[in-house]
Formats: sequence, C-alpha cells, structure tokens
Amino acid sequence: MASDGAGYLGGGGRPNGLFSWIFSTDHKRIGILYLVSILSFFVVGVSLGFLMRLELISHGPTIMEASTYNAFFTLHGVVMLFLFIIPATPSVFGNFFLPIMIGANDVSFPRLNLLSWWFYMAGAALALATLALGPADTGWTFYAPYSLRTGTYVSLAVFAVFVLGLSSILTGINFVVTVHRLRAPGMGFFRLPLFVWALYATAWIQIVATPILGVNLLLVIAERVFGIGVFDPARGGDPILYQHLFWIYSHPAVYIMILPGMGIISEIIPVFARKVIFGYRAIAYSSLGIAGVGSLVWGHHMFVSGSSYTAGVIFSFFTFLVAIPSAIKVFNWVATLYKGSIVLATPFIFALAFIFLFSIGGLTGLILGALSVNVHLHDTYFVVSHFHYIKFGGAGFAFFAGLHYWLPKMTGRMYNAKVANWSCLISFLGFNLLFFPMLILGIEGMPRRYFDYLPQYSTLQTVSIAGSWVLVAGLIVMFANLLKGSLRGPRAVHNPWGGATLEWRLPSPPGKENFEKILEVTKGPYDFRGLR
Amino acid sequence: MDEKEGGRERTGYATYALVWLGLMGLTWLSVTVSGLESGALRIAAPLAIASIKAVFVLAVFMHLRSERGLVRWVILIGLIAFLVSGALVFSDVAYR
Repeated sequence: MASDGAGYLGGGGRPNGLFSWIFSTDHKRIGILYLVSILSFFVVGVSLGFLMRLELISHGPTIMEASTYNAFFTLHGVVMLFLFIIPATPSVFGNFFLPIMIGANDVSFPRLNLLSWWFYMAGAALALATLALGPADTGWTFYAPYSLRTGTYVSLAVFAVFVLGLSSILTGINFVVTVHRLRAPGMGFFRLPLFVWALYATAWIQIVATPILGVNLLLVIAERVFGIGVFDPARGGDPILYQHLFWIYSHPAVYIMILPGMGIISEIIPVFARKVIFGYRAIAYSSLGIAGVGSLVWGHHMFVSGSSYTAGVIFSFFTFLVAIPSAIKVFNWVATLYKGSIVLATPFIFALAFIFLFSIGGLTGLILGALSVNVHLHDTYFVVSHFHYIKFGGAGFAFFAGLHYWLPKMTGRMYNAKVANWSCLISFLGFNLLFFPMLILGIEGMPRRYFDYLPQYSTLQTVSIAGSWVLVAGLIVMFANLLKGSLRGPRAVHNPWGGATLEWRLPSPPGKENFEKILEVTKGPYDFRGLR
Repeated sequence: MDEKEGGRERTGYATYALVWLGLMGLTWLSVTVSGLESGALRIAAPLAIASIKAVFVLAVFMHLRSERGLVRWVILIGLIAFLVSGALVFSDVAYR
C-alpha cells in the first residue's frame, strides 16, 4: 500500500508554514523537530571533534592553542552528550513511534511534549552562547573545585545543561504515563514491542536520576555566585561529593543513551532474521535490570578520586553485575539470528555493526570496572576509546540503524540502499580506525585531554586522525543519501521491511490521525505470520 | 478551605498559603539550628526538618494526599532510589 498523500507532513491547517511545526502538538511533527535539531547539533559536535583530532596531527600548537583545545573538548562533550546522544533516540523515534506502537493517537501530554522541545532548544541556545562568549574549559563533567574557580562561562554552560535536563524529565514523564494509560485494547505489557520496553525503562531513569544532576548543577552556580562552600575544600566543602552527585545521574545517563538504542536493535534483528525474537521476556526484563543495576555503579568513575576503598569494592561489584543484563540482550539477539532467514538490508547491517562495536565497548568497560586495572588506565585514551565505543559505536550506530529502518515510514520516501550500505561500511571502518588505536595508546599511558603528546605516540595518533577523516567521509555519504532520499527518493510502500509492529500497518508517511478507530491488538509484535 | 470535587479533595488557596508559610518557618528553624554549636544536632536536626518539609511538599503541593493507588506507590521508587543512593554515598564517606 503506497501512501495516498503527504499525511501528517501536509499543510492546510492553521497555523501554517513554520509555525505549524514549531507550535505543533502532534507527536510525529515533534519527532521531526527533534530530528532536525539534533542532527544540526550533531554536525557541530562532529566538527569540534574533527578539529580536536586535527590539532594533534603534529606536536605543539597546530591549528589552535591549548586553551582553545580545552574549550573544544568541553563543548564537544556537552553538545554530543546533552544535545545529541541523550535525547536522540527517545526524542526522535520515541516521540514518533511510541504512541503508534502501542496503538495510541498521541502521547498523554501533547503540550508538555512541545514544551519539552522548547526547553531543549533553549538549553541548546544557552550552551552554544558560551561558544561566542567564552566557552567553559572544565570538560563536560564540570568537576569541582576547578569549575568553581575558572573565569570562563561555567555558570552559563551549567545552566544550559540544567534546562536540557528539564526537557529530558518532561519526555520521561510523558512516556511513562503514555505507556500506562494509552495502550490499545489487547496491548498488554507483554505484547509491547521491545523498543517500547526500552523507552519505558529509560523514562524511569530520566525521571529519577535527572533531578539529582539538576540540584548538583544549581549548587555549582550557587557556589560560584554566593560562595556557599558545599564543594569547595577551601570553604570546608567536599569536591568528591560533587563527583558523587554528578555521576549518580551521569552514569545512568549512559543507559539513557544506550537502552533505547538496544530497543531499536531488538526491533530490527527479528524483522530481518524473519524470526520471533528469542527470549522476549528476558530482553524486556533486562531493560529494567539495566535501568536498576545501572543506577548503582556510578562510583567506578571515582576509583582514584580519593573515595574509600570499601566504596570502590562495592561499586566494582555492581559494575560487573550490570554486565549480566547487557549480555542477556546480546546473547538473545545472536540466538535470534541462529537459523534465521537473514535479509542483508541496510538497517540490519547497521544493527550488526552495533553488536560488534557495543561488545567491544562493553568488554572494555569490564576492564575499567576492575579496581586494580582502573588505577593504571584511569584518565587515559583507553577510557576515551571505551566510552566512544559505547556511545558512538553503540548508541550512535543504533540511532543510524533506526534512521535507515524508520525514515521511509517518517518521510514516505526511500533512500538508495547501495549507497547506504557503503556509508555503513565506511563509517564502521573509520570508527574503528579512529578509536581502536586509542585503546592501545591508553594502555601505553597516553593521558586524555592533553593537547600535545610524546613522540612515541605519534604513529598511533596519526592512524587515529586518519580514521577521523574516514569516519567523517562515511557520515557525509550517509546523511547526503538520507537527505536526498527523504526529499526526492522513490515513494515508500507502507511496510517495506515486512515488520509486524503497528507502525507498519499505517501508510508512509502516516496520516495526521494515527488510527481512525480504536485498534484491537490480537497478536504479539514479532508474529510474522501472514507477512512476506 | 478544601473542597470535594469528583470524589477527590481539591486543595484551596488558603491551604497552599498556610503550608507555604509553614515551610518558610521550617526553613528559618533549619538555618537557626545549623548555626548552633550543638554537635551532632547541627546535622541531624536540619535533616529531620528537611524530611518534614518534603512530606508537606509531596502531600500538598504534589497532591499526593488526594491521590491513591499506583500514583502513591510510584513515589516509593523515588524514596528507594534516594535511600540506596544515600547508602552508597555513605559507603564512601564513612570509610574514607
């Protein structure tokens, strides 16, 4: 069934033009607003990272001074984490598909949903304003006591993150209430697609953990403005307390990034293996397990900060424990592939890339979770490589997989599959070329955040820089292909992949009203009987 | 001050104002007690006062006293998260 028109993308109502988008309460339009904004900030983040790598092409200052390098890695972190990878999957695909996947016509609080996007944009504007005024040089973690004393615009950057946190909380509240209240008749919790389960678990982390970051950041501002002495040791404060409060949010935030990505992979694998997913309940519960146990591991960021040895042992134990639900997912995906009728389409290739890259990220995480090894590797390139394998190789590649899976539904048009496959391959090679040498550099002792390095690190630094060029080339090809396809590609049929979840019953793009009448759900999300 | 609406109690403005004044009073008490040279009480008393304030905010401003069922249970998730996080932080502070 081809789309019979522009669907929700069409105009005709009031307000029209740009206002029909930025004041729309339609969850699909808000999803598109997020997509455009998030990808714009992704370009900013990639550019900053690319220039930082380029700076390291030779010894000493090459294209920037040390202070500029400090500002760049701070802003690269803030933009990539708070403006791209944390909101990317929940805000884009969650907003667009969660209501459709449960058979609802919108989220529970559509106006709150729009407000969430406006908060996001306000936070983004504040974060980027620091670029013009004088960017913070603290790193994205804003560690005390340096963040309390530096003369750069830390308060503004911190307030930007605070506003972005508000946006995240509102999205989380909306998703929890929507899942509880708006499921179609017959859509029990164990008929929910696993992407919805992942978003649900993520939403709880957003609600419970984000306020702690908000309080912590307000304390930083209060400390800078009023000198209240909570974190500043010179005033009797405890800088390690800052790290606790920061990581109580920021480690679970890693799961805000990766859990929705795992949800995407759980959708893609069964569709392209043409099999019911292996261990549905185990994957669903593992999402809740990751959300729960993942909230108890933050102290592994602080093994060498001066926190107690007892705390170190406890946090190390929980860190190993959280590997179990993560591994449950990977094993179940692989078991789903076993004896499946594999279709090597682009979303599936991205999903395979995700499994490979996430596995490296997860396993290097276990190495860092071991107390004794952490002392050697702490604050080295090994850590940088590890978290890029999780956040970019994991959450980022899952987001790209989602783009290639769902964009035909969102825009009603197909991209060029051959070019998309090449872009995946180039990005995958570039990513590994960029970040794998960093694992070795880290083991050899190369510290992170340094704008210069010893001559013995030159070869691997050069390989890594070349990798950044390959990765950027792959990304350019990918986004050019997706943009061209979205604007001028051939019309997409309503179910190009043969998926069984509810979004594939709607035309591409969906109409303004998702479902004309209340839907009765009679089968599970991975029951492919009757589909090609 | 409070009215019944659709079977649920609706909080009146006077109640909000009274509770707010009460919270301000407790804040004053908290600041005063923190300034006293009274050993352990300097920490324990403000924490106790803060807990009482939190109960007021939850019950009145967040309408939990007129909610029932799932919404009341959901607040437990927040409390458990708070207690577990606090315990883990103290596993550092107490053994440093």
